Amino acid sequence: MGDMDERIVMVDSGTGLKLTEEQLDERSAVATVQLRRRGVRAGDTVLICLPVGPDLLVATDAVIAAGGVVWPLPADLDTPTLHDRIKESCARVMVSNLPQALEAADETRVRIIMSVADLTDSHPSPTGC
Amino acid sequence: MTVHVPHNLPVEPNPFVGRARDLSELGSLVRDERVITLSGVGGIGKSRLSLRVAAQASARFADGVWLVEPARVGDPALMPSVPAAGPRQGGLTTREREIAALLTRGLSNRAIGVELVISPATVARHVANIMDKLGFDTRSQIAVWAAEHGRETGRS
Repeated sequence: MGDMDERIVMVDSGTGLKLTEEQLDERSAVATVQLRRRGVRAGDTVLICLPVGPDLLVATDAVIAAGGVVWPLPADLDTPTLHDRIKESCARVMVSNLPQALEAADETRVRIIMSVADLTDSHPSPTGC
Repeated sequence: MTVHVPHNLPVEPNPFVGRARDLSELGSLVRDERVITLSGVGGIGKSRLSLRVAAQASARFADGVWLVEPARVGDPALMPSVPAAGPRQGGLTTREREIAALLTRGLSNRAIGVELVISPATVARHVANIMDKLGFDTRSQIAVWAAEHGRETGRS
């Protein structure tokens, strides 16, 4: 049964890294929890500005699983266009690592910007500071 | 301290400043008392303080620390039973219990979807809800939990 989950669902064209079904499920589940912890609830719009690849797939799946609405932003847009699209979305949450997207989120309604690292389980426990 | 216990505490939106004395006082109260009430005018940070105390105390409570929002309880008569029931008990729907049981077999969302005749995205949604209810961070934690609670989660 477990063998089926070794099925490859994506190959990153840049790095050649393969994402298996099991990895996709696990990574998006972890990411869903992180989104919910930051307050994403059913119906909330979440901007995603990432280059095409496994991270984009994981983030998209996670937002859908959290009940959110995915608002994708092509990573190759210039800053003014990104800014217009972000304003138009009225979204409060954005997932992105890209400097131009972070800059474009200035003076919009975006209040929470999560990087790809924030979507992983890097800070599992609330203990300590 | 990296002891990981289940919890449903929200991420702190901004840094928590000072109040070391309050924290240590409350920390020892939590050790000795069963109920602690924080009182004060609105906006002085009672909720924030209690969340931080809960987070710091989590290492001592292997079964986890749980936030229960009283605003969600409409009937005052239910107030004692809601926290007592706790997020770990019986909070799962039939479908969620089915999916938790299938996760113990290491099935992917797609395989579970095939088994239950629902879409993988729906499975992912259920998995996210289970994690929310049980305060887990990963799918494997659900699998372990479901294996331990096999009798309740098993499909009839």
